Amino acid sequence: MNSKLKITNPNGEDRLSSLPDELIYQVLSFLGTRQAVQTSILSKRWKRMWTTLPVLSFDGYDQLFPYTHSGIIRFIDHVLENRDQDTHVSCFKFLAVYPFPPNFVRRLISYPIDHNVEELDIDLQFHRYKPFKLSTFSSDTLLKLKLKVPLDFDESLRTDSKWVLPALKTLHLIRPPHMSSYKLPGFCLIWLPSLTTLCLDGIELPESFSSIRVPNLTTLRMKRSKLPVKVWDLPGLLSLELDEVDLPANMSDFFSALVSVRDITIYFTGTCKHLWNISCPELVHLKICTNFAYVSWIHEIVVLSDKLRELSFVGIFMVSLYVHELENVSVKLWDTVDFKYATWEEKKVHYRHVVPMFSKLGSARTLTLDSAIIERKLNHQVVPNSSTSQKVCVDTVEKRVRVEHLVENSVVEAGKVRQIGCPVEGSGTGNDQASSSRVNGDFE
Amino acid sequence: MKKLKFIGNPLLQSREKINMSSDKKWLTLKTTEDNEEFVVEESVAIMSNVIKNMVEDGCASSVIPVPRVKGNAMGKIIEFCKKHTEESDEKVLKEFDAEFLNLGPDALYDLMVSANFLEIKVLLDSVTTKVADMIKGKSSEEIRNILKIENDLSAEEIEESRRENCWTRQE
Repeated sequence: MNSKLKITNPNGEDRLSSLPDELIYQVLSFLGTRQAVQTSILSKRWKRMWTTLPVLSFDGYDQLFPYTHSGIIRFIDHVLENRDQDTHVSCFKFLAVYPFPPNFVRRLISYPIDHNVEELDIDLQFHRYKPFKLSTFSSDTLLKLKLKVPLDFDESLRTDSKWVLPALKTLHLIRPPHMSSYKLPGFCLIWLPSLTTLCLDGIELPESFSSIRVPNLTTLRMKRSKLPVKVWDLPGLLSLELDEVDLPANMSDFFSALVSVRDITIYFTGTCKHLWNISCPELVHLKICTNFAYVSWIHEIVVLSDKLRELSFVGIFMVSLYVHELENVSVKLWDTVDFKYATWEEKKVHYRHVVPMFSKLGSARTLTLDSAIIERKLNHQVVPNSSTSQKVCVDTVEKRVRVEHLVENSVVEAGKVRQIGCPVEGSGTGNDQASSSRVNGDFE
Repeated sequence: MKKLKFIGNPLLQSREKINMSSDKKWLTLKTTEDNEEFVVEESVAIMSNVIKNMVEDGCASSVIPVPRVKGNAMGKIIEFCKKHTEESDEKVLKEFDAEFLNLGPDALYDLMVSANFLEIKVLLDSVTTKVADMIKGKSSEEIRNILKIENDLSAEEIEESRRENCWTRQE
């Protein structure tokens, strides 16, 4: 090994080492602790840089240098012992690749808590551990907590059965796969005065959620879960995302309770047909995706939101919009592999509904269609009332689409057609991304 | 079946833009190392926290001197800031960044140091991620070659460090 080979830049300096410490830390923080420690052999200056790195992440185990089970334990212990003890931990991530001994895991979790950690991400995967007491995670400094661990929801008044997280802004809980779905106990949300973002995956909201005060909550994301029976009280919520959540029949009430919400994203499971109103006065962005597998459910949604500007669909819906002019409408027929391999019979069910769907969309300034729709040669009115639609963006990730084809058949006279993705065969102006072609002609 | 017409007059659009531009504020940034001048819109220039503070504190005259940043780095930075102020589509920005950062290590460092100095967080995050990607998973020799780090450790020191940090290739 030619360790004495000097490679310097024209100024004779060591380029990366001429960077200030904070920049080096930023680069190192993206590498994972394993590789960060390895930089100790790069040069004298680098020898102990890793010991004062505030980010610790034991979550990437690259295949190039696989560790044995005991090797990982030894490595982590070594890092925790030899790290500069006065340096706080800003971010700590741990992914349990193997089932580690419970004492080791506990020791591991207490390290960042004892070092003023701000962001903690623990993923014990599917390994079965005795549930952790909530107080394990109590911290004055924690801002963001993400856990995929079994939790002990002991309801007694013992001090160690609750967590106190006065500074916590983001709480993200994921149910470990071997556990069945459960409701988060109400008391978990009580000692979180600063909470702005709550994400629950495989865990339901407490039944008492409507009476729990979470005054600063602005973002709620739920996945693979259920809503409580009583309508929530979230006047300050700004952003809502529901992904594969069982939605109740009185969903309209849940929406009207969200008087401040600005964006809503819903991914349906398609377990039943949905007919409801979305009447959120401040709603600006709405995205709805449905599942191709449930072809027979054509959902009907009425949107009564004056401020709605952006509407995005994946799938077919009957949407009645009572809004002024929309800025952007984006429609994709289906986002899944299922659609690609579906038979023509199966697809026909959807195409029948495409035109009525469009006719209800009202007006829009920008309409983005995916290539599946364009291919079908829409010969009908696309967006009837839009006299000001100026831009059509064609998402052509996999297909080549002819511009004239688009224009002729979907009745959009485009001043500029901007494409995202593959080249579009324009009418003579080449395959550049900006203005492919200007097409004239009226279609009356 | 009646077909409807959607009219967009691109000529009108661009004329409007020119008219609007006279309402925008413009700044001149001058790199003091090589005396290059760049005229930029204020809205683009204030992506740099340093420049933003100067403008807000009212101590920015018409020409702002920028030390430590070379002309060609400044040009690149302005290109980046311009794109990021104009474009809001995340997909498009991602593609742009990937293309934009397709630079050699020297250019990347200049960019990184300048973005740090000018306090442009978006650019700094992108460049440091790119640099980290370049060295991820590489051996120490490769890293030294890529980043042009001078190795001032002896073979024994290196071996000792390896042992201490319980890291061997076989493990």
